[in-house]
Amino acid sequence: MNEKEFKFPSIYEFPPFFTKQPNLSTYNSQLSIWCKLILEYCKFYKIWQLNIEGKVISINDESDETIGLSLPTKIKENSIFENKSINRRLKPDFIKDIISELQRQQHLEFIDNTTNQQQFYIFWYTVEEWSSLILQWIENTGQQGTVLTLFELRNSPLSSNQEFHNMDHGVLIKVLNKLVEKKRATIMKDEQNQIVGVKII
Amino acid sequence: MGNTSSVSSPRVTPQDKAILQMKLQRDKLIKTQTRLSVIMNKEKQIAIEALQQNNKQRALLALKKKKYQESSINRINDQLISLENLINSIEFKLIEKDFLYGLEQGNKILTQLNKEVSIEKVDKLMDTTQEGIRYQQEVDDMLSQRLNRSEEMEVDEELKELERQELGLPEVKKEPKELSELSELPEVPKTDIEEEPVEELPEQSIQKKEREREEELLAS
Repeated sequence: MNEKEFKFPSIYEFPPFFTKQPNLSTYNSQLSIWCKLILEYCKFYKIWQLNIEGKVISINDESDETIGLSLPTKIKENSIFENKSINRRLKPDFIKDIISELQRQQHLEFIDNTTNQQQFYIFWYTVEEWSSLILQWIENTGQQGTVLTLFELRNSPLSSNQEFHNMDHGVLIKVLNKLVEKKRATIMKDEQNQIVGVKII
Repeated sequence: MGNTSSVSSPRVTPQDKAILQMKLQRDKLIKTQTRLSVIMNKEKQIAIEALQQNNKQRALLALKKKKYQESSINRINDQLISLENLINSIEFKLIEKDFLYGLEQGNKILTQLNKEVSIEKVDKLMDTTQEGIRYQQEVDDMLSQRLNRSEEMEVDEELKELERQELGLPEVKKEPKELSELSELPEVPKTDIEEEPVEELPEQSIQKKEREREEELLAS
């Protein structure tokens, strides 16, 4: 799927990058580089969910088996917060800082915000940006007012060249809710009260 | 999470629900198809492996299974096509319905507008317009008549004065103005010339007589 590997910036090989810098301004730029790195990394591999250890959460909901969402196992097992080649890893408190910074930028959201703050969504585009992307696609393909299934939205050949192709189910729901907020979409549910379709104008 | 169908967000009609159901069915078919093709490929691999292990029966079984999956996939393909067709025609029918509705609305407005522009009304309007015009003409006539009566005398007098002026100095006024009269001028001298000698003669004779008289007086 991904022929090329993600090219880490050279700073990723630099041991002090993994320790919290005492100088505040240095620390701030360190933090912002970390945030950028994580977003780019996730965007490159189309990673939607990470856990607090920086590992990809492989989700196997029913539709993913058809997509064959296959990350290289190396990526699946590695943690973004750890560089084994220089034997460095981030300390949990630094990770927390990064997470809250990403949260502030609306690029991160805990999957379960109440009890289990172990796993989070990574929005390499913010939900707002995603919703505009989808709206634009709907408009460009003349699908306003058409009923679309979520499966169709994520997996149809029409959307195959779109960045939201194979989008994480949970992220998609968030984006769609954003569209509902904007009064541009209505969500349709099935008998089990599961969101299955959407009508976007 | 809200199924909030508020004022401006798109409304979900029963048709939409039906289409959604069909599309969900279609999605299911697609998923089944993908699953079957995965299984199919696996069976093929099993067959190859079995052949490598010289287990012909197992290979045959795997191939049979593969064949079965293949036919299932084909069946699903057919179903998919007919389902897609159905969805498409329903969606198109909906558009047609909207189209008809639009036509109907347009027609309604047209007939309503036509009602407002009824022929009787137009007739009446034209009548009143004509009446207005007639009235205006009457007013015009009346005004012009009144003018004539009140100022008839003055106008008459003015005419007479003009005539007097014109007749009093007819040649002075006419000569410089009109070329046609200028061209007529040369005729005048002709008659004059003919008359002149007649007139000249007496004058000359008188002058001659006077001269003679003077000469006689001088001589005497």
